[in-house]
Amino acid sequence: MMKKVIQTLNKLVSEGIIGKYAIGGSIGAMFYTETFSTKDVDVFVLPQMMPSGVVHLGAIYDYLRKSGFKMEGQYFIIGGVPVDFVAVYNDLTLEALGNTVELSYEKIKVKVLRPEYLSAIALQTGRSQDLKKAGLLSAEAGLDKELLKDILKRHGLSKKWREYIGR
Amino acid sequence: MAGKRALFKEAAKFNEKIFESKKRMRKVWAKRPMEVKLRELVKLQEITAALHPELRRLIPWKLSD
Repeated sequence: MMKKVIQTLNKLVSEGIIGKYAIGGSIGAMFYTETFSTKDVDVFVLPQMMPSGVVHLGAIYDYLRKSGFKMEGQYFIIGGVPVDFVAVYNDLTLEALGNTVELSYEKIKVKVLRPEYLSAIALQTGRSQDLKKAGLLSAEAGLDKELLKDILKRHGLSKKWREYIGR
Repeated sequence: MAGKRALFKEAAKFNEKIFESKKRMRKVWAKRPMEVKLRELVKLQEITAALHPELRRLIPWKLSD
């Protein structure tokens, strides 16, 4: 069923509905860590900007609705999996979407956020489940420490990281 | 007292070994293919739902066929 999600995301790109996407959140992290509990798939996308400056995810919604996918609350249910489309919301998430990794799932190419960006985003979000995710990535993902340090520094997260490590 | 201290020392060593082995296993799991990890996730969710049917509605999805 995850295969259906990835096929749909790749179709959104090939049909020009979105420029790029990348799986983030817990499922994104799980590409690099052990299994842990989660309830949805977070997909980061670059939305269209309206002349008024309002972020617009409507093209994705229209396309998926026309393709027969249903919405439940904030999620689109694709192949039985709740998918949450997250429009990039700051410099960090925008940069993360520009530096993704191409991995494979059931022989299909899938774009995933780099583990260093997943860590930084988790740290910036800062809820307990996010910090747990950052901890797992730090212990298991074989992070590029120089890259992580650079990301944290440029996005003003170095102090937060030191505090987190010092716990 | 000295006997107890030696026992605690042994227990600490044992704990350390268990911790190390768990850490190694976690790293092994982290390197498994995503397909395997998601199957494991579904299995964990099914076990949770079987043990706690009241949680079924909180586990609305399956990631594999």
